[in-house]
Amino acid sequence: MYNILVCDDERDIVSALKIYLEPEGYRVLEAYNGQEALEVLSREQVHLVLLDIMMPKLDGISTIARLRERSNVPVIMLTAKSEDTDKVLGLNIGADDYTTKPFNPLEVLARVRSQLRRYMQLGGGTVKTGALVIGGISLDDSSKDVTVDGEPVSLTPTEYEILKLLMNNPGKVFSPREMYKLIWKDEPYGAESTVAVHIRHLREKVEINPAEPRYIKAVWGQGYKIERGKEA
Amino acid sequence: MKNLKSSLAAKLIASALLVAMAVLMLYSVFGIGIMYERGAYSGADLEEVQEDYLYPWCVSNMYNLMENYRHGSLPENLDDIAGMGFAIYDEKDQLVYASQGIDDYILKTSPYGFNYPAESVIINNIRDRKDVLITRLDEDPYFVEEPLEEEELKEGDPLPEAATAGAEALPDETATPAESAAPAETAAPVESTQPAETNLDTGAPVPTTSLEPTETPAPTPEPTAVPAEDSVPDISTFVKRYKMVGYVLDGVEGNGQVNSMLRLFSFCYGHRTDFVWIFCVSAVIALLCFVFLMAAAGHKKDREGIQAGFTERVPFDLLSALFFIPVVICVGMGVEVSYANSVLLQMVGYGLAIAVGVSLCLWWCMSFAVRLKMHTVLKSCLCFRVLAWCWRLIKRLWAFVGEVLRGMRLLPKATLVIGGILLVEFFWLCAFQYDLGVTLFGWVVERLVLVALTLYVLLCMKRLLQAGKEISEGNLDYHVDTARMRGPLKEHGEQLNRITDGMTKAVDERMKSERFRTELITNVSHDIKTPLTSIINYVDLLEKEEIDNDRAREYLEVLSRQSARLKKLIDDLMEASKASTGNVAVNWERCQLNVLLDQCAGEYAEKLKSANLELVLTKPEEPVTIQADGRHMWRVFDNLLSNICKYAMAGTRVYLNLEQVRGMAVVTFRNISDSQLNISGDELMERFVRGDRSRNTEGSGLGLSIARSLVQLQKGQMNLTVDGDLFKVVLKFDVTE
Repeated sequence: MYNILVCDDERDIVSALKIYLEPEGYRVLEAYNGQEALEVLSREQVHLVLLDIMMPKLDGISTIARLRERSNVPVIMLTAKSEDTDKVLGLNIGADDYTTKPFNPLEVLARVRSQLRRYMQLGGGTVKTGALVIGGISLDDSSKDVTVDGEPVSLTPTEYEILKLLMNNPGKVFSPREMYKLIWKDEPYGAESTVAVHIRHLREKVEINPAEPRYIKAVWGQGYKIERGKEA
Repeated sequence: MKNLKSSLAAKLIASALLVAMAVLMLYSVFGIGIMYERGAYSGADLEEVQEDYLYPWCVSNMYNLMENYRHGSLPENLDDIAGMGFAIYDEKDQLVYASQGIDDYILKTSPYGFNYPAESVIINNIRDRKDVLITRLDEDPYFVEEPLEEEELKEGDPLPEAATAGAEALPDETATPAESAAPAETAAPVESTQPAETNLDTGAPVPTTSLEPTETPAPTPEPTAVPAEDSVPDISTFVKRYKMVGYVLDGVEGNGQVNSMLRLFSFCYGHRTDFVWIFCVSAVIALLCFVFLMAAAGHKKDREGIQAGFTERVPFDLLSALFFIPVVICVGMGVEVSYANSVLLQMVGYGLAIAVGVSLCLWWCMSFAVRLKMHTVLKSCLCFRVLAWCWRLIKRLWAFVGEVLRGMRLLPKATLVIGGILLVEFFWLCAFQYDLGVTLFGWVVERLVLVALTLYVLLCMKRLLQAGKEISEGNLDYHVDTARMRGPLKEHGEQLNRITDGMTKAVDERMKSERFRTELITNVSHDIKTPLTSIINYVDLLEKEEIDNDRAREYLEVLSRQSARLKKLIDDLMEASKASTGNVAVNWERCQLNVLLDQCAGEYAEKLKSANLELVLTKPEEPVTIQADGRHMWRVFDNLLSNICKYAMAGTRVYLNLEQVRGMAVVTFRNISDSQLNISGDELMERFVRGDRSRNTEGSGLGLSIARSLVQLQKGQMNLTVDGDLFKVVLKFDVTE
């Protein structure tokens, strides 16, 4: 039984999230501004925070900053602001994830699960040796097992090879042509877009929201890479 | 104090006091002056003081007497000077003549010598009276006549020796006549005849005259014999010297002036210290009165502030002139009075003059003070008014000429000016046609002025040109300095300034409104998103509820779809507004279009397949690199491809072509539209515009608009053409190495 603090000045949104979260077995604590959120946090044991950014009294960004002074509880930002700068600011100041309004409830649930797994089960060095780990993705080359936030994922051999290539070289950008040569062991001859198709399939399996990937990123006009995870 | 100031009586009293004090001061100054001059303040006693006055008076009278003798007057006839008598002695110091009353005197002068020229003696005395010859005999420089002595020396006359001897003897003798004068007394006439005779016998070289004074011995027979014809030639050498002593008589009737003067002196002497006191006190009082009057000038009873009086109506300079004349008259009066022979009259005259003069001066000063206080000293001057009037007239004339010139158009004005210059030139030439120098001088001056003016105009024009250039180049901050320009040049400069001002304002307002619009759209979008979130979530929740009603389920499905569309619409709207106003950051990096195209094709492979479209991708082998922001480029391709997926006719081919043409990377999208396109490509790119037939499909209609804005933001071009059903988009970017 995890306690999840939902904080939004819009009561309807809070209750909607409550309706979604409670059937999943979470206990939902409610707060309607940053001040209240901080009070609840000091009062109760909270395992995850869903936090709106634009709120009266104390806004989300300030709340995260205050919260991080004493707690490392996962924080997912809920924001109507879709500008990149807002996301970057939120993440830099201590948020772990974000989702933009209007959000898809299923996506929110997935992100909540992901963050709780990371925080409660995969915290610290509970990683098997010989496994490649980037963020929540773990790839065990000996058993060919891939897990995302602890959940096993089944990949096709090509997808597995692509993921392995990227995870072996985190941060490096591979152009489709290079990847084709390395994985298909062949000259591409105009088949580079095949790589993109496979990347897309891979993202659908690994990422929560494939349109906004956390791990496998396209560097448009150059190639693909996997982010060197912050916490890894 | 205020009451005192505004009281007329106080002012009158002060004025009177001041005048009185002035008169007193005058008198005391007289007293002090007289006493100081005679040494009363440096230890002299009364007698010395009196003597100091009497002696010169006596001497001057005696001088007159001597002069009269020389011109032949008889001593008896001259013996009528009030308060004074005299005695005449010859070279041997014998009394020749004593006027009456010298026995009772208070002062005796030193003897003064004089000669009696022979000629006048002959004419006046010897021929007519045949009795008296008087010769000057004195060493006093005041009476010495050098030429006479020289004449005597030339003629080898023994007289000079005698004269000098007599002169040397004189200092000793000064005492003796005084003693001898006393015993001389009444017997003077008789005695005087005898010494004269002895004189003739002993010393005189020429035995002609007896120095018989006028009286009894006059009709002696000798003189008649003397002027015989044979003696005439010797007369020129016949010069006799005499000396004269004056006596100031005491207590004689009728000598009013001397007596009154003496009385005055003794009075003044007695009060010589009082005079100083009186002067000081009256000066202080007068000063106080003056200060009070100056302070009080202009204050009137029951009135606030400074009030102009009757005098102040007269212009100040006129008033000064009016007052100056009587003051001059007063001074003249004073001078005139000084000739009067009565001391009392003089004193009264001086007093009156000073009183009137001081009163007038006081009046003038008060008027001046009032004007000073009212600051109307200059303004109330007649000259000032006249000058001011002249100045106004000149200004008005000048303004009139300026008005006339300004009212004229530029061309006639210029013609007039040039005509004027030519006319002046012509008249100058006519007037000085015979004088080449003057003609040339005029010519040089004229040319210098014209050159200076031309240079000035050129300078102004250069500035205006520069300004025009700057403005045309878009420098709206440029400002022409029109401070030193004149006329049409200034006007032109100011117009240029107004243009820049207007344009700057317009640009500013445009920017402001753009910013405002973007902000408005962003804020509204944010505000819409919150309720939309609730709608989407609760629709989703409702869908999860067990609802038996099929129709309700259908409705819910519509709600779900439309809310999702609304969400997309809002996102697109925000993005479009930001992209179109350039409110988006661009991360410049090298971007390979070949790779990008592959990536896009891969991303859209499935969508295209599901839309039953075949993608034909052609691209060169070598990479085509441009400078762009990869994420924005993806957005552009994403929009275009999703557009194609939505609107291309199923079962057709989509051509995606990349080529490098003359340093430009050109990407072409071509597809066959599903529905008929009845609008132009440009219209399609406008926001919210879509082909009529596609209105009912999903999408905001902003895709193309956003794509174009983003392309422009990355310094590329996007052209859209519709050729029948062929829909073609061309993107062009500069290739970088």
